[in-house]
Amino acid sequence: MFFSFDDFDRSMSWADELQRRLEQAFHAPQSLNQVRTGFDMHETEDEVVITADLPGVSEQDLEITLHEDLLTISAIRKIEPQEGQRVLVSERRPFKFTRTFSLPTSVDENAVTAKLQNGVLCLRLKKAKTALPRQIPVSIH
Amino acid sequence: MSQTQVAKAEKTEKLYHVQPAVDVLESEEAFLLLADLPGVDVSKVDLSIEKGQIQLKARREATEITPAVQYERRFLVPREIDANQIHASMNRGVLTLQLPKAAAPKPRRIEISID
Repeated sequence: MFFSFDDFDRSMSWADELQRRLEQAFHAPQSLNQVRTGFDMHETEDEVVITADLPGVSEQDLEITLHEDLLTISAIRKIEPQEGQRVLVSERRPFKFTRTFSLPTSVDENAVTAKLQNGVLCLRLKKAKTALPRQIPVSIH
Repeated sequence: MSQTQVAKAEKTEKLYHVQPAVDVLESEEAFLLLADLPGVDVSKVDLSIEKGQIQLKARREATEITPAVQYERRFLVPREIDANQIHASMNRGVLTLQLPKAAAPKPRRIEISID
């Protein structure tokens, strides 16, 4: 064994490998595993913020579309060893997914920012003016 | 503090310990180790080699939404690695460690003399 790990590591990668093989058995062998990537969505007073861990994903492999209050995010990550490389440990998963979110409020489609930094996507969507709480002055006659 | 503010503060103060997922590849000249470290800035990666072990520690700082994460993992390195030539880089939340193999010592022929 060229690269040996401590027992915990080994049992982890063994469990991982088993799961991967099970998944492979139920998927077409050539296709990438459809993996759910965890998204977080938070709502502040004037923004909706969505984050997701997408390590290794480049801007070209990421597609974000907004249609009214439906936000769709697609991403792909390929894990392919180069020629002449022998795989000794394989835990990092390839993925390919499309997720659609129904936003909790209407947003200003001209005030959306998407930032991909250190493999983390952060999307900020400013709420539409009409969705912001508005104070109604009361006049007394 | 409102209830939501309390919940948020609790979440961001918590520290999660995570073993990063890795790939290890071997080519003729080197071993290549890739580790997923999303959210980690290059300045927060700490790599050390001691007694044939690589220790990887990395810190993901908490943001307003995501909690802090301490990534940690150790690896035993193969003997044939040239420890002085190890090269590490971070790209898009993925750490790449290049571990070049030391030039293999040439097989030495041992002469046997017959007395």
